[in-house]
Amino acid sequence: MQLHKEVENFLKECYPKGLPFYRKKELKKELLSHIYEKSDYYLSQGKSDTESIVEAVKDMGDPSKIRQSFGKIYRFERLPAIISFITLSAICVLAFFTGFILFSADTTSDYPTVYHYFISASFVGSIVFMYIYGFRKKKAYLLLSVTVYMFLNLLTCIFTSGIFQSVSIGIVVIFCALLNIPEHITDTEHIFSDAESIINFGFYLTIAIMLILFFSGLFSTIIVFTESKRKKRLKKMRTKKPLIMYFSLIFSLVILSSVLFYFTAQEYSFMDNNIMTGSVIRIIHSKKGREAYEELKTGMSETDAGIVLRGYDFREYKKSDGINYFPDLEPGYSMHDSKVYIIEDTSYTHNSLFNDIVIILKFNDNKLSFKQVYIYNNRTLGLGIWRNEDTSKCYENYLTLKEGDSREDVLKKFPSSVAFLETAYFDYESDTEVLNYRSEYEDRSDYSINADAYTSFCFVDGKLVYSEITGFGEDKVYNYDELGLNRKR
Amino acid sequence: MKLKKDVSKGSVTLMVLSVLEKNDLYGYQMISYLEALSAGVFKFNEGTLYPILHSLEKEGCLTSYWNVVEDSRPRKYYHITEKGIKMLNESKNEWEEYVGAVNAVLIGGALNAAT
Repeated sequence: MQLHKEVENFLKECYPKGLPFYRKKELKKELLSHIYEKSDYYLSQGKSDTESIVEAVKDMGDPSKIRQSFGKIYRFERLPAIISFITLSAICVLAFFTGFILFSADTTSDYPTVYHYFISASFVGSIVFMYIYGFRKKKAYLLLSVTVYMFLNLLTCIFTSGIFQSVSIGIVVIFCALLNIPEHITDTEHIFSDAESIINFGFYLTIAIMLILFFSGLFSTIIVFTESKRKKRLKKMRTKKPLIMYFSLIFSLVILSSVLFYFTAQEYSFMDNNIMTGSVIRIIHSKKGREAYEELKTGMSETDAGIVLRGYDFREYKKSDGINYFPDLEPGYSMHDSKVYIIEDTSYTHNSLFNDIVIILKFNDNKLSFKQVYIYNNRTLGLGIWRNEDTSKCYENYLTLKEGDSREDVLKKFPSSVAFLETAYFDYESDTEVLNYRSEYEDRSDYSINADAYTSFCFVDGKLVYSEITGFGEDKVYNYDELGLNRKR
Repeated sequence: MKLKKDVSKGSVTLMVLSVLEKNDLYGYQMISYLEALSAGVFKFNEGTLYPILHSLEKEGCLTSYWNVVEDSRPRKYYHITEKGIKMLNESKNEWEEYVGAVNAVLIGGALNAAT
């Protein structure tokens, strides 16, 4: 029902803040009934519609006094609304301070999940309070802004929580298959092996989601400020000031946290870096690695190569530093006469997860003769959801391999139930494709890397030219010589 | 004539309970009654009646119900409870006592002035 403006304004002034909506509804009905009864009386006295309404409202008296009286009578009914407002404010603060925690959530800790559930529960509880106790209209924008922020966090959680990893990767894989990205991908087996395309797709997907959320927030801001201007014209600015203040506060908090996040991205990973759809840092680094690799030309001097690499934030890696970047697995590379440059991934937050970008160079007479680039990580690179219970199958299958086996036949022996692809790269100089598979040993709940089996294959023209298996840990150690493994390159 | 605020303040509750003693009434009706019965003396801001009614209802002196008649506005009727009747009687006694005391003073004052 369209209310007369005078009546509408009068009723608004009559309600104390925080009054439950059902109480407001009851008051409105009763006061309206009275006003229209009186208006009917004035109409019968020969006054016009507008005059009779205005007179009837005038007879009601000062609405602020009515509001004060109702406020005293229903002070206890207003209490939940005040509590809900405090809760909402607390959530806003929590949302801000837990943003980093959620953004840097890792799969092995329960804390982000607990935080997430706590915030979600509080948030839903507050919405219920808002609905029942009538903060709906005025605080809707505040809720909306928090919703946007929390939804962002929720997405982060979904894409980083252990159980959802398979879902997130599954989604990406399905999208890849549907959109035929890249074009040569025809089945999921290849999709899994083409790590880079999935990383890129995950990145763009994430950015798209973030943009949608951002514009949703922006849109709501415009609505709020447009409404505020309209209210100003109606000289109702006084009642809307808190709304603008609250929304501005939340919006600035979101912006501030985004800025802080941007500048602290090296310390806090955008998403867990052990999933393929995750780490922006890794993607940026990968891009740098690829570009640097392309810029390095055969015959280039060591100094020039160093300049190029430093331009892409690479630093020379001292072999004695500790990490061994698969020194014996890459064709053409040996520890002694090659230089290693890396961009170290410092975004990891737990269990030393990292994805370093490694470039290996070899110089003959100060001229570049060999180059190679790849991502080195000490974790599963997103495909670790398929874990076998033991490495024995991997070893048994390995023993059946023969030099010259086709790539297809070899990979058939290493399905996801046996081992998963950990790193893959293509050496353009020698036209060699290198696939490194990992088979994890027994229960991986402690994320120890002991006793894993690493199997590496080198293919030239789709034929196996080199294979190797390496065992780690105290339980099982595979000895090349004892096994009679093929080490020929 | 309008009564001064202080005089009417405490008596509104008494009058509301009083008019409800005989019949269930809705707000607008109550005001019309009060105005008519007092021959226009009690003419106060109508909106202020409702906090009083809600307060009495909250105290348990009144109950309310909606009466929706076809082709008519919905009306919220108030009904006086046992507690309300008890309160009314007490208030009546207090009022009579008060009025008696005031009258006694006024009469006494007039006599003193005469002697």
